[in-house]
Amino acid sequence: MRRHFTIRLGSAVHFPIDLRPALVLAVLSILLCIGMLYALQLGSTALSMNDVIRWLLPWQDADAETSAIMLLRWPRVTVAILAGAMIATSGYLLQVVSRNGLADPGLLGISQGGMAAVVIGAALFGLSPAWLAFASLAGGFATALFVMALAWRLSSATGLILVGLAVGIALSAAIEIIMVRGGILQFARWLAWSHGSLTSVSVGNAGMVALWAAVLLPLSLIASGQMMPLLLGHEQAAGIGASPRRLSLLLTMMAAALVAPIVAAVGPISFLGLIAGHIARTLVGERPGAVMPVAMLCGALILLIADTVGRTLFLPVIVPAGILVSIAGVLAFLIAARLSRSSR
Amino acid sequence: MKAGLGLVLVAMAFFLLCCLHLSAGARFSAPSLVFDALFDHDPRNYQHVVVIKQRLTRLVVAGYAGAVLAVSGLLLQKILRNDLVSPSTLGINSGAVAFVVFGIYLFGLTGAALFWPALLGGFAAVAVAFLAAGLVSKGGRDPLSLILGGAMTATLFSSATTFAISLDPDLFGNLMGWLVGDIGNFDYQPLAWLWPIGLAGIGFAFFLCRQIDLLTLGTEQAATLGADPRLVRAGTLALAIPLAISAVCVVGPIGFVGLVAPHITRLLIGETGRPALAFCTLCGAVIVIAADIAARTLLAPQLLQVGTVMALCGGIAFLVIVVATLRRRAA
Repeated sequence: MRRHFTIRLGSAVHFPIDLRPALVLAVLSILLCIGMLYALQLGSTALSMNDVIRWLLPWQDADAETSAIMLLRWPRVTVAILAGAMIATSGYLLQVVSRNGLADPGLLGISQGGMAAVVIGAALFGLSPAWLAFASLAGGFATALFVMALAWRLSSATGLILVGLAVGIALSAAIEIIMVRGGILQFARWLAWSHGSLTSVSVGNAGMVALWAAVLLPLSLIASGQMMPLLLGHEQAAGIGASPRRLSLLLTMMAAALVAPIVAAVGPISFLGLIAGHIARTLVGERPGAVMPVAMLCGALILLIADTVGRTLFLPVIVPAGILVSIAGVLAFLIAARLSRSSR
Repeated sequence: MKAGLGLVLVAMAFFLLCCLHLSAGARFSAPSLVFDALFDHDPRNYQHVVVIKQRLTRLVVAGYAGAVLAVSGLLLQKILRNDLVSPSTLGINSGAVAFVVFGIYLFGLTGAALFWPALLGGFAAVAVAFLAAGLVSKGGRDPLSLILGGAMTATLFSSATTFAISLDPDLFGNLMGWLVGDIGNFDYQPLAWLWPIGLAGIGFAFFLCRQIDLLTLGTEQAATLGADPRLVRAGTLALAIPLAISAVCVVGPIGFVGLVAPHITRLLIGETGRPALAFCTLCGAVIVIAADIAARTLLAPQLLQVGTVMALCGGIAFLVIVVATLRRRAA
């Protein structure tokens, strides 16, 4: 089978396209579309697929009932897809920068930094929701810089993760001190948020997340073309003329920016970045230009499925998506690691 | 520092902190009043009642939890030869909490019966942490990967806990303090029947001290010197986990005593021998009592949770230890 397919425009312009990533991308996109249709259709009030499709098509008039239900569902589905893509991107960026497949914004303390800033901003200074994303961005930046600075001179690859873990623990304790003041109901809600939950997503949230995604996701796709040298390690990258320090600082900042709006809207979703990155690398290999879009789609698909399953399968109980991702994700990761070891 | 001098110093610190704990609080009681309350008790004097019923009980609980967790941490660090492990970093605390919460939710367990799910959770967490560590390091024996495995275990079990709580928040209304780790005014009640476990555990630890010390030399060395490494390791694990669980059942997941106290011990008088074990026991008690004093007085009259105070200080201490360990390895 040919590995490449070349689009020729005239005699001078050729676009070589790798077949395998293209195929994977196409399959994932189709899965995502199907998942989105089902996510819109399923819920405590079941709709018929016909109504959903009529609502989606702009030239058809949907009935009022469907529109009312959709007003509740579409922000949630949108946020699930975008948040999944952004967290996966952030995780993959961190994995490239730290050259460690276990990096994840939740494990490196970046999400916790954002959370701490959000909690302090909301509880102590009464910030309005519109500013929470920026507070989260500031917190995430500060934590990322702190962790990177501490781990800068450590040679061990696991070192960065452990430093991030410790910073995350200290930050969560600080958050906890503020959050236990309101009784068990607020505590339970906070617990749900601290694992990531899409229950309280509104149209405003969806708009905010979409705005950040519209800027940052294309930027990361562009950046993925420049990331290849980083995989070689700093000396080699510098040797072939890249500027690894500046690039990795830039990419870390971008990773922090990608999770900031998500932390403000739905809370951190640990392990999603780790899992999506792993799946993407298993599917298409190591080339960042190919891995990045695949990781985005994987993340979006995982979070969409987790959220849809969480709110439909155990009715009337609604399981926060973050919890499903953590439990299923950790278990799946362990099983996958086990299988890949025994197959070697 | 000589072991004897260290022991005397830590005993003095312990005694001083006990006195401070009894007199400090939302309202400061004079030492003479505390003395009267202890030795010339007048049940109709309200301040005497406060000192005995609210402060002495807390003091005993805090001292017990600290001592037991510190010994558990020291044992774990010695047999695994890894100075980053502790009941909290291995996920034992989270595992116990998750199983207790499910025990309450599914079977309506209360009181003494909760020790068994907690114990089961502790063992389950250690098993998962080892499994995850083995997979993360791909068969290698990197000590850092055990901590990463522990962190994954903790996330897994705390997610399960959150799930159970979100099913019925009202059921767990009274447990919020316990869930984040706190010393309440009635915590002495479970302690009343759990203390034999702690006492027996610490006693066995003293008894087995020589064998465990041999194991810190490495498996081959220990075997040459006449200890059965497997037996000692399994026995010590079977000792360290119930010790930690007995504290978790009383006060909830108070982390990092088990990490920090052994480090202080190692820094001051070394980790081998029975004096070190005694030092570590007292040191743990001192740490939790100090944290309890801080929790009660920092924002008085509001109470902070001991668990969160410990987690904040302990998280920072963990960061320092991690960075120091990594620097040493890099050098």
